[in-house]
Amino acid sequence: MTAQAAKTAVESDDALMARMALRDSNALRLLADRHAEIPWRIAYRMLADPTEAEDVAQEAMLRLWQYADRWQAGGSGVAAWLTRVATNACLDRIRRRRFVSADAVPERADDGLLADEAIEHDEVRIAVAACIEALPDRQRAAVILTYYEEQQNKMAADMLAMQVKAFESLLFRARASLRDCVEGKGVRA
Amino acid sequence: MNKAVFPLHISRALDRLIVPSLPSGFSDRLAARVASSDLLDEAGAVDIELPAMRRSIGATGWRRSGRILIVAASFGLATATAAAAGVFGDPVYIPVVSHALAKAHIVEMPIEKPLAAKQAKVEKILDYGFKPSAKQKVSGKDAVLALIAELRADPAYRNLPRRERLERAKIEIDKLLADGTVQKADVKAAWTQLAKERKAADRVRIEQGLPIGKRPLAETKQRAKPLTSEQKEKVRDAVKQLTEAQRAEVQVLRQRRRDATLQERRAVQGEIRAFWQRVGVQPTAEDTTSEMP
Repeated sequence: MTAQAAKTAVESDDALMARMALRDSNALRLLADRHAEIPWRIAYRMLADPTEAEDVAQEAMLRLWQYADRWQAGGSGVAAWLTRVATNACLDRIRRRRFVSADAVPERADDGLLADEAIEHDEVRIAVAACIEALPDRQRAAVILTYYEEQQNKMAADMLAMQVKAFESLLFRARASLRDCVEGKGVRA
Repeated sequence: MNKAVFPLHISRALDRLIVPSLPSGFSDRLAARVASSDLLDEAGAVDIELPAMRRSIGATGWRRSGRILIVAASFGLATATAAAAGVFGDPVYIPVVSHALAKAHIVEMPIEKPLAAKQAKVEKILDYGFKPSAKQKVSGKDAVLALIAELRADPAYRNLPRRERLERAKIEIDKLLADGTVQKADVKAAWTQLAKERKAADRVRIEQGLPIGKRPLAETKQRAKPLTSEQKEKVRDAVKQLTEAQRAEVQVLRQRRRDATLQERRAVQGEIRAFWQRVGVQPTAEDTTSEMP
């Protein structure tokens, strides 16, 4: 490993952000390699559409690029920032979907996904995806942030701009709905 | 989320939703967008906060229903207030609202129309000049009873239809209530007593076979009276004197009656009765034959 490569490997997120503020696209590429999975995972599960999920991931990284000159080192970190931005972007997309008729959407969010999954005969996975998609947007975000992204309730509540108590209530409803839905689709103990 | 919050089978199912790796070339496409300045529209204006809570109307049923109810109630209250204030013509008496408006000196207290209108209507219909006795010395339940007695003594009152008599009595009682002579409990007690008296009187008339009001008496059912012991003895003697042929005949008739349909039974019963008459026994009713062998 060359000295330059070693330096890059250990370079902190804050240092990379500082480089991005100077418009170093290599720093963006490094940060993307390190953290772009986060918005991708969140979007993939929330939107159930790989194309849209990649759009959200790119959007989050571009926002990070544009925000770099205002970045304050020592904060909650790039990962938390991307989680928040990706969640909000997904919620916005879900809300926009409500006002767009199904005819106007060239591809339904989960058509491709379901086709692939049908080939795989993974009925449980399809059932879970459908149940998550059936949740109201905030409940969906709450489940994904806390279950899949393993965020603390306080952090997740903060990302959704909610009081912790309200968030816990939302999460309770989300869990109950999700459990009923999954069991309703034939997943039994 | 603590994964233990879900039952194991649910957790396992949720864990099946595996996300594939980022599509290959993601970083290249991202770098290309940056290089070509294909950035987001709101360049620099990054808003990492959630947009304001946009709870859509109807997100939950109870919220929408609540809003509809509030709007309907507000509309109703506004209309009632307008009517009480005289916006639609003369002020209309509306309980509570009219009192509030009168207290605020916005409008004069209109006549309490429910009582006034009812009284005027009945006075118009029942203008027969009844004036309650001025010498009401009793109070409480007795005052109501005295009033009713006085009304009943009035021939004009007695000639009124029942419904109008009732209206008239209620108006007079309302007057007693208004001047404090009686309380509501007294009125209730008086009505209860009058009802008991009426029931007792009706029972006496029924026992005497007299009609109650315009209702005809119900027809008394003709019931068979059981035979007296003397009659039974007489029947037994007659049965003992029957010949074998007559016994066989009555047995046949009885069997026919048992086998008969409901419609045929009356005819067979007639034959049995004719048989007993023929042999000299005069049963007093249908069931007398059952006393016979």
